[in-house]
Amino acid sequence: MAPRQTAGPTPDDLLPLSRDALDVLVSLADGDRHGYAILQDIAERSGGRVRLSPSTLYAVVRRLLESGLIIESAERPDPEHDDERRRYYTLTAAGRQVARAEARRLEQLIADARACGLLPRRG
Amino acid sequence: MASREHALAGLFRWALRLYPAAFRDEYGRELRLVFVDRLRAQSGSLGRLAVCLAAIGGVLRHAPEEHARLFAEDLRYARRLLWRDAWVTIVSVATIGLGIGTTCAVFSVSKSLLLDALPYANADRIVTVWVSNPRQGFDRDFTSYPRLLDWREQSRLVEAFAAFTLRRFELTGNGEPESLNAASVTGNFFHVMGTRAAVGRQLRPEDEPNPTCVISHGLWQRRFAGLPTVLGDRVVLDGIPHTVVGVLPADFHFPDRETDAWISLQPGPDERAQRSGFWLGSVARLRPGTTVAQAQIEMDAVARRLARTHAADRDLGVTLVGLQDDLTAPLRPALLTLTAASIGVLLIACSNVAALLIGRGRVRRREVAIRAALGAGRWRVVRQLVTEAVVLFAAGGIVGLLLGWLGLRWLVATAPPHLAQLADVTLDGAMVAFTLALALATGVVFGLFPSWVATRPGVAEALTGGDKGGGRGALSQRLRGAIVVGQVAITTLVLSVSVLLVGSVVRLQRVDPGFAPRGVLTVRLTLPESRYAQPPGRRVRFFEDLLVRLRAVPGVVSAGGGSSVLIGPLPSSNTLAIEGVNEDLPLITTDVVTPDFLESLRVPVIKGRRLTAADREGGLPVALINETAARRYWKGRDPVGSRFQLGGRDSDAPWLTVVGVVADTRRAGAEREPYAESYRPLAQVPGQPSMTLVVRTAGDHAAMAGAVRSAVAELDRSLPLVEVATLDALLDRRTVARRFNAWLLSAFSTTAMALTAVGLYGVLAYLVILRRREFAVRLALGASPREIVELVVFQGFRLTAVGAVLGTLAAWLAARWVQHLLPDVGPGSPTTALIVASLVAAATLGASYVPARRAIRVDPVTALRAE
Repeated sequence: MAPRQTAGPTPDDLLPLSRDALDVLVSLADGDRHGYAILQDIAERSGGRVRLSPSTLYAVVRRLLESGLIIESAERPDPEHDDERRRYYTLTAAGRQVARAEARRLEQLIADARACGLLPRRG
Repeated sequence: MASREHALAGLFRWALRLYPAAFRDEYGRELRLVFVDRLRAQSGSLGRLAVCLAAIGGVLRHAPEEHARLFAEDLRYARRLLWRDAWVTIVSVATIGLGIGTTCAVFSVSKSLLLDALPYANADRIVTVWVSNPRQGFDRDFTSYPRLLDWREQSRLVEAFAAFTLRRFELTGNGEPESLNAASVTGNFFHVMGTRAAVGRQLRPEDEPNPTCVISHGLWQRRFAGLPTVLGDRVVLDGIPHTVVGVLPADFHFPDRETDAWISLQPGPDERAQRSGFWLGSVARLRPGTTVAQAQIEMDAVARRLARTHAADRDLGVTLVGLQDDLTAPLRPALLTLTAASIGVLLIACSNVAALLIGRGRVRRREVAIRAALGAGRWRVVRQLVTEAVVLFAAGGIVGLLLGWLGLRWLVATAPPHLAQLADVTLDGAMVAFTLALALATGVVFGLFPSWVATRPGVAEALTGGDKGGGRGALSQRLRGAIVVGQVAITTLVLSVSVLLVGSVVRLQRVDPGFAPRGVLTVRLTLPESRYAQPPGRRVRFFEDLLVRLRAVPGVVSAGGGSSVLIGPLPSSNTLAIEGVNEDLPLITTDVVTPDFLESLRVPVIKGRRLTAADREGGLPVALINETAARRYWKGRDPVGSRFQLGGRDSDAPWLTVVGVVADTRRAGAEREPYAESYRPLAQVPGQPSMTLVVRTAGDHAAMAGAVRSAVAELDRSLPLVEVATLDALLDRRTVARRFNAWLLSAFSTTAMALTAVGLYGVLAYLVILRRREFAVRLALGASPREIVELVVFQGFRLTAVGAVLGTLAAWLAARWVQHLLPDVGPGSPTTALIVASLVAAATLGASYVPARRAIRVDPVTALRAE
């Protein structure tokens, strides 16, 4: 599961991620998914507010595949859930690292917002 | 329900075609699956429609991104490849640059002279108005003041008629005296021209009785240092102070570029009364919405009405010409020819590069085959190759732009002063955009074809190394051969037309002008109204005194003066009445001359006598006529001793007795029929303000010019300095535009020929590579090197011969078009064809020889082992 042999960008080089890219990475964090499942997951988690078009999804997928953050999954899920025609995508170690770095960056941002009173301080 | 879903899926599938094929192949199926899942998740048809619209919107947004990404990828790849074959790249870019640069320069000139709008408000409504006489075969003559007033009164579709006449003034005060070109214009002239003053105001109809003027931007800068205080200043023109009321914009050049001042036209009583003179130029502004054709129909009717009521208008018509058409008419034929030739050069240059790319496509078949085998579709590979070509052509376009810019600057710098309009030509933004677009378009067109050839199916064959010189190699070689045939045809065509043009120039310069120009100096002198109008005869005395002084200068053979030098524009012309003939006859020109004028020019007297010093004021009014006038109007009767009257029977001009008939001269140009002309002695026309002195010399021209200047200064120190020019130079000036044109076209055809030779060289060199094994075998089997050389040269010759035949046919057709455009260009002749054929043959031999030599240097062992 090594990322593609590129000039070795560190996770920080890829930050900040686009919102769509982060959504896709997060959706793959707890398991392999195919395209439609990713869209459904994103929609559910956002309470229906984020609805990517198929084109947007695959533009993001293509970019993530190219930068080695995800790969096409070689293993198929349980036979009863498997759809032969579909491609499943897996988060790579690099992808996980980048997603984590982005999440931390956002966390820091929120902490900063609290510190300066933009958001209420936690109890 | 299912069918509706099917229809929407079909729609989405169709939208996916907007993606590059590579992306579609990779993700198209997935995209469709997701789309259908989405559709199924919706229950209502509105919801499904929304899903469909959102999905298609997404495609519209992302497809261009994918194209851009692929393009960037192709660009990087192309750059690497072009860098690898640096020499081929440099030659290609230079070739394209040459083609594009030529086109860019010529198109810039054509565009700015033929297409760009004139800098006047609503210039499309401005027309020039000419008097025509279809029976006499002239269509562009000036008008008279009463006729102008009739036009104004009777036309409804024309908003305003204005008139002008050109004059020369002596400008004094405020520095050195200067001879100034001015136009006397009617008060509505600038309204018609749609031009505001840059500083101050324009002349107005109310100005007509007062001496007022507006001046050119050039004169303002030159003489008044561009100071706004010039307004209200008085400039002294021929001794009369004129108030300057305005300065014109720098781009106003009408009636011509030399005009530096515009003053109110104040026609004298004679001029107001006389219909039969032709001295006023006229421009008019059409009413909004009126076309030139509509106004022409109306003016035809007006002319017919005037013809019924006025004897002087009997055969006359009116011709309206759009101002832009009128100004560009003399340039159009030359520019169209040059434009066509530059397109020819561009085609040859581009096809050379296409041939080169086809050749390289052969070499790269393996690479292409590998890419195809790795799954790249044919379009993907074509796309890559076309991108490569476009990069090449874009670089060529930039080089072309630079060359075009240099070419234009060179053109402007070397253009004869006569073609002063060229000075306005610049490479503007539109032209830069056009040039780059042209480069890209030619890149796509000339890149597509070689790419298509290179990616023809046949992968396996290429991979197994089946590159043995037969089959496909022969096909691409045939294509390159076809390109050479096309190039030779174009070259032959351009060459033929330029040989025709050069021929016409040579012929024009050989035509006898009817006088002997060699060794004659000319000086144009205008005596200012203020100091020379009174007493009557003062001007005559001045010119006679000056001529006496000039004749006394050592080296002067003879000297005389005339109102014109028998070249250049039509002098004043009039209808005439002949004693004993019951009708007015159209048009005879009149020149005012001193007794020695015609002798100095060596115009022989055919019959009767010449003018002498005895033909003075108060004596019998006399005139000479030329042979054409005698033949046309006296129709076989002896004109000597008969009398005629200028202006027709109604005029009160004196009756002139013909005392002699002189030979014709060709003042309208060597290619035109002579006019009917008459000559009157200066002593009997004392009001003549300007004369051109002709001084026949036996010595050094430069020294003589000094002597002429000092003779003028001895008589009147305050006369402006004058240009002393040889008559030869004046004659030369008339053909200068045509010579320049012929020269440019020759340069183009030379370029075309050189490029074609390079193209032919490329094809033959490649042929030698393809057939090296065959040549090696032949040599090994005892063929003489000479036979091999002949074989290669014969290949080149065969291609050239086909091209030359096609080109000659095209040239034969084009000659008619060129003749239509340039009537003085002769038809193609066997001589022309022979000259062109030998030039093309020489270039072919040159281009074939080097590859042929290379063919016989093939070492059989090496060549055979290489297989």
